[in-house]
Amino acid sequence: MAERLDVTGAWQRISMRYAVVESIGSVIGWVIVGVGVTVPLWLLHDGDMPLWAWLPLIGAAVLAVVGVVWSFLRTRTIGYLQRDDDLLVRRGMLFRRFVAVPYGRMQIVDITQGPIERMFGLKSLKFVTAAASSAITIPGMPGSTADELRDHLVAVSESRRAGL
Amino acid sequence: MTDAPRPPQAPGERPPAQQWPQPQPQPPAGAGDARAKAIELVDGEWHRLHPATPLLRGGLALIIVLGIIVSTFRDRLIGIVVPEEWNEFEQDPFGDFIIDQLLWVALGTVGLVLLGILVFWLSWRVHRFRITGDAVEVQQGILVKRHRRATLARIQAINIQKPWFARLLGACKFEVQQAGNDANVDLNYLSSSVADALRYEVMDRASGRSAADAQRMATERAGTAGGVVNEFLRPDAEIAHLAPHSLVRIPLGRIVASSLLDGWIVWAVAYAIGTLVLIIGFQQFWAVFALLPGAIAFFAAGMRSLGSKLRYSIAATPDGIRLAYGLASTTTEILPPGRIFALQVKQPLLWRPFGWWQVTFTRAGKSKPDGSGQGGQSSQMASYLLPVGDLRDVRTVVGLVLPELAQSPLVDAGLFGQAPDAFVVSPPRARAFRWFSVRRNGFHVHDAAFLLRTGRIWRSLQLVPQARVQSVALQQGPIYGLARLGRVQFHVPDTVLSPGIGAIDQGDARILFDHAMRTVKVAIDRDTSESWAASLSRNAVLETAPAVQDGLMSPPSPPVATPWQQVQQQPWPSPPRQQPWQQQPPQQQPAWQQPQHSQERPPRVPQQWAPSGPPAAPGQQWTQQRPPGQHAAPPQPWPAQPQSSPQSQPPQPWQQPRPPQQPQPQSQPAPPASAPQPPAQPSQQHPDPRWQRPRDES
Repeated sequence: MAERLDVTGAWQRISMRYAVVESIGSVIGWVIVGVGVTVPLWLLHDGDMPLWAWLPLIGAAVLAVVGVVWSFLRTRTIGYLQRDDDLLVRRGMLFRRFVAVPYGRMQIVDITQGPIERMFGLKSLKFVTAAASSAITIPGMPGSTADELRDHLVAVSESRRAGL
Repeated sequence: MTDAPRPPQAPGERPPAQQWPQPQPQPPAGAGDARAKAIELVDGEWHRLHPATPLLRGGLALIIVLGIIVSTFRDRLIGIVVPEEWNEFEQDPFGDFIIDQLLWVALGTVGLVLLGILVFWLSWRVHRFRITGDAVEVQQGILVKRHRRATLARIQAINIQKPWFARLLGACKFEVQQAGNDANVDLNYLSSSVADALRYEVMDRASGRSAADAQRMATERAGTAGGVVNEFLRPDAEIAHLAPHSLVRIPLGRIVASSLLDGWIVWAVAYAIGTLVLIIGFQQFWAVFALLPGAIAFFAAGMRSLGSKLRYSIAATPDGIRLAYGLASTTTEILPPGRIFALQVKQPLLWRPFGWWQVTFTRAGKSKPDGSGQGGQSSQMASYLLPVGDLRDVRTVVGLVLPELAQSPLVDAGLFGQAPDAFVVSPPRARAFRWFSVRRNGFHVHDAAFLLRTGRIWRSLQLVPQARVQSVALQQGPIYGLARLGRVQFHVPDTVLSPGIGAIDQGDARILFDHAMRTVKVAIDRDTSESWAASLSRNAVLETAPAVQDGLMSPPSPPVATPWQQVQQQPWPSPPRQQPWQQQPPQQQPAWQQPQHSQERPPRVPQQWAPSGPPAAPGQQWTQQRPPGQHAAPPQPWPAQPQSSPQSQPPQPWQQPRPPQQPQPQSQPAPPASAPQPPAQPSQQHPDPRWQRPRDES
C-alpha cells in the first residue's frame, strides 16, 4: 500500500484515556441496541428463545468489541500541532483530515465536557470560525491542558484578530 | 439646502436642471434634502421607522383576512343581485351563522380590528433604531425585548429592497447584513426618500472616511445621480438611473434565453414529454391532470429565476460593488470591498454554444425569509454577481472583485484551459475519479487568490481571495489513499459555494495545503478591507483597469512603507517559488518579482518533474519559452510526471527547521502570553515550551 497523505511535525497526541471514554460510549450504545432488539424477541417467544434470536445480541457484542478497538485506533490518530501562524488539527485513519486554522480567524473557543469525560477528567476543545465547515474539535484533553490551551489560543487570536 | 454646495472640481458638468431652479429643481434638491434627513438619522439618537411599517409587516395577513371575508360573502353578494331561483347558499352554515349573529360578529370584528391597531401601533412605538459612530442598533418588542447591534466595521453589505407593495407607500427595507445566519440588523421599513442617503452615511462611517471626503462625495453624488423621483409614478426610476453606470449590459433576450436553457427548462420539457407519452402511448388519460400543476410549478420557478435577473446592473462605487436588480420589487445592494468570500464562474452545458457564463458568489450573511413573501426571493437573487454574460463581462466582474486578476490570462486558462498550462492538474491515475476532466481538474495559486478549475463538460472556475480564507482542510479517504490522491478544501462562510479541489496528487495537495497557510497568513496581514477608505481603495485599482494588460502591470504592490511587512515578505516566497504553480509563464510574472527570480534560480536547472523522455519538437519550444520544470510540459511527459511526485523529492526547505538567522520572530507580533522565543527552536512548533511535552502523564 502506498504511503498515505501525512503532515510531519511534532504532533501533540490527545490522552489515550479518551479511547476509554469512546469505548464506554460505544459499548453502551451497542448494549442498548442489542437489548432493545432481544427483549421484544424474548417476549415474543415467551422466554423460549430459538437459537437465531440470540444473533442480534451476539452481533451487538461483536460490534461493541470492534467499536472498542476502533476507538483506541482512532484516538491514536487525533492530534494537534501549534505552528507559528496557525493551529493544525488532524484526525482519522482511513478518512484523514487535516485542518489548519490561522489564529486570527478563530472566533470562538469552546470547552465542553460530557458526563463520561468528566469521570476521566477530560475536556473537548471546539474552535469556531466564520465558516461553518471549519468547525473542528480536539477531544480528550486533560482538563488543565484544555484550559491552558484555550486561554493561550484566545490570547493569541485576540492579538492577531483579523476580521473575516 | 435647496442648492447643494457646488462640487469643487467640475461645476460645468452639472445637469442643466441645476442651472435653472425654477422649472425643475427637483432631483438635486431632493438629494440634498435626503442627505440632510439622513444626517439627522445618524445623530446617535433613537428614531422610529416608517409609519406604514405595521401595515407592511402585517400586510400579507391583512390581505389574507380580507380575501377570506370576500370569498365568504361572495355568494351572499351575488345572491342579493341575482334573482331568487339562482340562490344556492342554503348550505352555507358559516354564512348563515354570521347573518344570524350579525351584531356580535360586527362588535367582535370592530374590537379585533381596534386591538390589532393598538398592538401594531404599540409595536411601532417601541421599534426604534439608532446609528452611532460605530454601530447600528435596533430595539423592538413589547413583551419580549430584542436589542440588536451591528458593528459598523463588520458590515457585510447594505441592501435596500423595495417590494412592490411597500413601494406603493413610499417605504423600503433597509437591511444591514452581518456575518452569520440570521444575524442581519433590519430597519424595516424606512422611507424610500431617505434610505439611499442613509446608506451612504452609514457607509461613510463604516469605511473610516474623513468628514471632508464624505462631504465631497456627497456633493458629487448630488451632481450625478438623479436623486429621488416619485416612486409611485416612476417605479423603475430607482434602477433606471443606475443603469448607465453598469459595467455590464445584459440584453433582455439573453436573460430570457439563458433562463430557458438553464437546467430547469430541460426538466420541464422532459416532464411534459414523459406525461404526453403516458397519455398517448399508454392511454393513461388521468395523467392530463398532472400536466397543469406541473406547468404552474415550472412557470413559477422560471419566473422567479427570471425576476432575479431582470434589469441587473453592477457598478463600482467608492464603497464597493453595487448590485441592482428586480422588476416590480427592486433591490440595490452595496458590498464593501473584501466582503466577497468566493466566486464561481460556471457554464451550464446548454450555454456553451453561446459562450455565456454565470458568476455566483458567497458572502458571510444570510437573509432569512420574512412573512411578506419577498425574503426568499431576495436571498436567492443575491447570489449572482453576473446572472449571464459573455467572456468580457466575466473578466469585468472578476476584475471588480479581484483587480489583480483583471485581464489576466489565468482567468481564461481557468475557464477554457487544459493540462499543459499554468495550472497544476490531477495525475492521469485520477482518471477513475475525473473521467473527462482529468487534465482540467487543477489549481493555481495567484498572489491574490486561489484558482480552482474543475469540469470539462460543466466548466467551472472557483476563485477564493486569499485574505478571505477562514481555514484550509486537507482530506484523504481510503480510496483516494489507494490512488495517492488528496483533496484540499478552502473554508469560507458557505452560504452558496464551498470551494475545494479533489483528486489531485497527494504530494501536490500537501504542498498546496502548506503553501496556502503561508500565503493566507500574509494576505490576512495585508488585508485592509475592514475600514476600506483608510487605505488605497480597490476601486482605485479598477479605474486603472485598462492599463492592467495581461499582468504586465505590477499587482498592487504590498505597502512597502512599513518595514515589518517587508520582513515578512522576504523569508517565505523563495521556497514555494520552486513549485510548479509558481513558475508562471513569463508574461504573468509580476514585474517586481522578476529580478529576484532570475538571480535566485539559474534558468536551466532541470527540476524533479522535468520531462524525462526526449521531448518532441513543439514541446522543445515550450520548454525553451518557459522556465524549466514548468508544468506545461510537452504532451508525453505529462503522464510521466507523477512518478517523480514529491515523495521522492528531497525534503523541501520549508519542511526543515527554519535556519535561526531568519528574521521570522519579528515578522509577527509575538503573542503576549508566550515566552520569548528560543532562537534554536525548530520553528514549526510553538515558541512556548509548555506545549512541547506530551500532556498525557498529567
